[in-house]
Amino acid sequence: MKSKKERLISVIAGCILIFFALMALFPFVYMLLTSLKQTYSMELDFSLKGLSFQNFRTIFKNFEFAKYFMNSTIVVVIACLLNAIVSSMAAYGFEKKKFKGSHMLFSVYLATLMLPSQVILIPLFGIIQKLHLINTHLVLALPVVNAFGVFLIRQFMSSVPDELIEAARIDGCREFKIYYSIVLPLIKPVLVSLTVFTFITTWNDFVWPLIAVTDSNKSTLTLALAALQGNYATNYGLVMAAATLVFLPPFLLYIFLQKQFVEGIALSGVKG
Amino acid sequence: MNIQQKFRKIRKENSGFLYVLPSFLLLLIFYLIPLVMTGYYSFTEYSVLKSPVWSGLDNYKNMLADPFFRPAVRNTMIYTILTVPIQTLLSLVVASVIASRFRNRFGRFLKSALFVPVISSMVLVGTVWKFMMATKGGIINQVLGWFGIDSVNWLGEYHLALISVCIVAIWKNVGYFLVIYYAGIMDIPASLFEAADVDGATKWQKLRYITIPYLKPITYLVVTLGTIWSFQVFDLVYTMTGGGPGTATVTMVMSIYQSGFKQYKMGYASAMSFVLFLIVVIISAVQKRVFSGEERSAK
Amino acid sequence: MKKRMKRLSCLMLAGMMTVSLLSGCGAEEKKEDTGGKETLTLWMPPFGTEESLDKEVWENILDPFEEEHNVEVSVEIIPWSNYEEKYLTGISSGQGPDVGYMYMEMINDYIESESITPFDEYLTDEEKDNFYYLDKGVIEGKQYAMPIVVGSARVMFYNKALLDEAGVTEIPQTWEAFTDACKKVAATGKTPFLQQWGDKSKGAMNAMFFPYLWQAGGQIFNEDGTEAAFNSEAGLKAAKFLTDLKLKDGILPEEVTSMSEDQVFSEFKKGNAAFVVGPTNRGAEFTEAGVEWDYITSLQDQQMGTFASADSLVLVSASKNKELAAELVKFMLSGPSMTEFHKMAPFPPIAKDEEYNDDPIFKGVYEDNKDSLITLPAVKGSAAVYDNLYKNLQLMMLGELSPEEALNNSAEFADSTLAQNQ
Repeated sequence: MKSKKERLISVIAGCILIFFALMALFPFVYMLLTSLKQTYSMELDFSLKGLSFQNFRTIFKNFEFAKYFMNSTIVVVIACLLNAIVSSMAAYGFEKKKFKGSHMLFSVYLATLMLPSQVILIPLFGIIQKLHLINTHLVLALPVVNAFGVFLIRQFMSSVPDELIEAARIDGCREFKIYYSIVLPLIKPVLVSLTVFTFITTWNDFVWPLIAVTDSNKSTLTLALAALQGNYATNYGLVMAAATLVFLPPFLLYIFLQKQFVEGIALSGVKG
Repeated sequence: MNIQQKFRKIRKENSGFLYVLPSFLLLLIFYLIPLVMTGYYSFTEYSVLKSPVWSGLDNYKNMLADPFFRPAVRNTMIYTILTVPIQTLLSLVVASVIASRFRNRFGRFLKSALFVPVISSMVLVGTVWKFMMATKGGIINQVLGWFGIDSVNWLGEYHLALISVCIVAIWKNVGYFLVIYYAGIMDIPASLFEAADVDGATKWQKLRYITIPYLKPITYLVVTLGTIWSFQVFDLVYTMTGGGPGTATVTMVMSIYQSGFKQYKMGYASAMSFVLFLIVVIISAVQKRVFSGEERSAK
Repeated sequence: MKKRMKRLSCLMLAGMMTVSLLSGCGAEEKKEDTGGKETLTLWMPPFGTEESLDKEVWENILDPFEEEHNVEVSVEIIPWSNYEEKYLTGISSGQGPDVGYMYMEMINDYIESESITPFDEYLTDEEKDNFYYLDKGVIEGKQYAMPIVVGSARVMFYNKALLDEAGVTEIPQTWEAFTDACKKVAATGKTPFLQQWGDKSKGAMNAMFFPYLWQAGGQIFNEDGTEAAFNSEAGLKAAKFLTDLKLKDGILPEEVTSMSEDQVFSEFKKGNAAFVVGPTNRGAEFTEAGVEWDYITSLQDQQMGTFASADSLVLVSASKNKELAAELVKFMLSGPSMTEFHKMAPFPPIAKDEEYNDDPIFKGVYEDNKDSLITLPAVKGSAAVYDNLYKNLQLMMLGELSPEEALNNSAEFADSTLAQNQ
């Protein structure tokens, strides 16, 4: 039973929030509309005349965006797998198999979360140069595997009861088997969340590919968008078509896995 | 206990480290060693094309004399001071309004819509907003024109350019922090509010004495994360303004990138990186202090 | 959640399959081609529009070369926006090209680190005789660079219709006349003059500042390249001329501080601006857009003067087959190849074996006004100096710095940078 005044406040608040939501979505609508037009002008007209997929055809046919799409996909797959495996093992080590100095080491991990990654850009470039990793898909995936994944999974793993692991050990279960056949299935939700995060960061990453890729055959989609914007700045339709292509995969992923996104973020926040 | 047994025991006790090892190696190669090297390079003259040559404190001295280093630090600070409080406050307010009034389909839609900017890349966001903020023919000025407002030179005015970039950053970040806050609000035990209702507390009192104190660890996270993101800002500036016009939107990372990879002064860029690192460490320490200090006094 | 996962994996699978179908065929073909052949890599900047893709044009030009030498040339187009960093990361990690396109300010760093090799031993006297501008590629007595784009002069384009409308009957030659003409255009409510002060690339100064500096009788550096000279009386006069155009007379509109070169030209193409300064090779676009235009080579104060580029091909030391790479350079610079290249990017010829194919209207620039075309000097450390100068000039145009402050700040930086590079 709400009073009239309460209801009025709700309506006003609702209107303001709708305005916010529209503001959040508008640039994407603009992007989509412009991408379907052959235009050298920025003015938006809502007429649906002359809409075509010509710009998309051009970026695929003349600009090899299929190749960049593929590169991004490969890098993302490597990063997701690697991050899930490496981080979950580390989290298991930290949470369930504490060792001498594990506390100290974990605080080092936490400290690296504070480190702006650009601080180490220059030496990192030198290192991958020496390791002959420049222009490989692998090198684009490697720096994504960082302390964040370990931290996130460890948060979740604390809810796995120690008794379960103890019981398995008493049953004579081999150590590594405990990890992959008992612990891993239990932390599946957080692994999905982590994968979602990894997908987004890797797909959208810009600085690192900018440095680590010199061969345009290995360029990622985000990098290709930046290059296109630099070279053909006034062909707005074309640039927006490329932007749409960069936008769609994370967007589709988000639509299907909304819950995992939100849970992942909440997990890193609430219990942190 | 013979040696073999002892060895086995040590191995068993420390087998956890084996699980951490792969991750630790990556952290070593991709974070810790480069950090030490940044420190070393900062005392050298280094162009990547040739090996580094020791130059003592030269780079740090040059930094003090560099007329473009100061704007970079200043812009980064302004950027942080503008974005962090606004996005924190905005996401807290929106989250609590949704939690208190719209726990329904509408609320879910709002959260989803505000989250869309979060998942899109900074390069994309910068590209789209750059077009929208164009002085001539940009959609924003077009809409302002309908209301009889003169064209605004969003990205071409010395003070406004940085503010425009901040607006876009806030637009992009709010959805993320909103989700964190919302989860935090949902975590507050309902019994607390019920007890307050019994005591006849007003809405404001509930916010002041229950919600905000309860959300303090989350606010700490949001502020810290927001600050770190602010100090890393690069993609957005790179696509929107390239640091210009003049030095209007040069940030620290932007000037690190420009000196290092455009002017081939890697040693100097490393020195700037190291200064950036120190600033972040100091600010994080201060924030931690502030938040835990308040907690103590609250008790 | 399971259901959702299933749906998602279906979706991802479908997406990946589409992509591999799209890209798969292309990739396989390439693999077959390269089997056993030698490969050369060529890095070029973009000149074309998206309709005449640079990569395609070069691949067509190089087809006969590939056949003759049984070699695969892989062409890569490097965007201007990250040109310096691509060369740095590529060459320093041994993943650079065999042959690359560089502008003069870049070359010194690579010579100093011995990353590029002079051409001298690969050139016969007869070949040398063919080229007009080889001397521009000689640094420290050696032929480190082979000029490929010489020209691209920044001339002043004007829109005839707009000038007629404003009653400007005589095309301005001097600064004063130019200001007057602009005022007349402004009176009709049209934009008189546009410059790209919001452009990210410091190369914008080639059209926006250096011409006026030279016209006023100034120089960028002193004779031996050890000190800045742009802070002279002449430099100050040029800087004042520009600031007056924007801050005093309002001839340059507010928005120039956020405009890129492309945006400036796009306004000119729409018939919204009376004067712009740009490279001659853009003329064709203006015609295509239906603008009635003409040009003057440059305005005149003490003298005429405007920028012309002297960009070159270089031979990267890490190349495994320098002999063949040098052959590639010669092939690219030969008459037939250049004729094809100039169809996409109209520049004047660089050697005797090519006819003049550029728009005949520009013949005047490159023949009659040849003496007023000035190239940037190859001074060590100049890239950083230009970067600094550009930012200071931008601040000056924003009204944040006075012309004196802007030039003196830059000169101070220039002198210390140049001293370090001695």
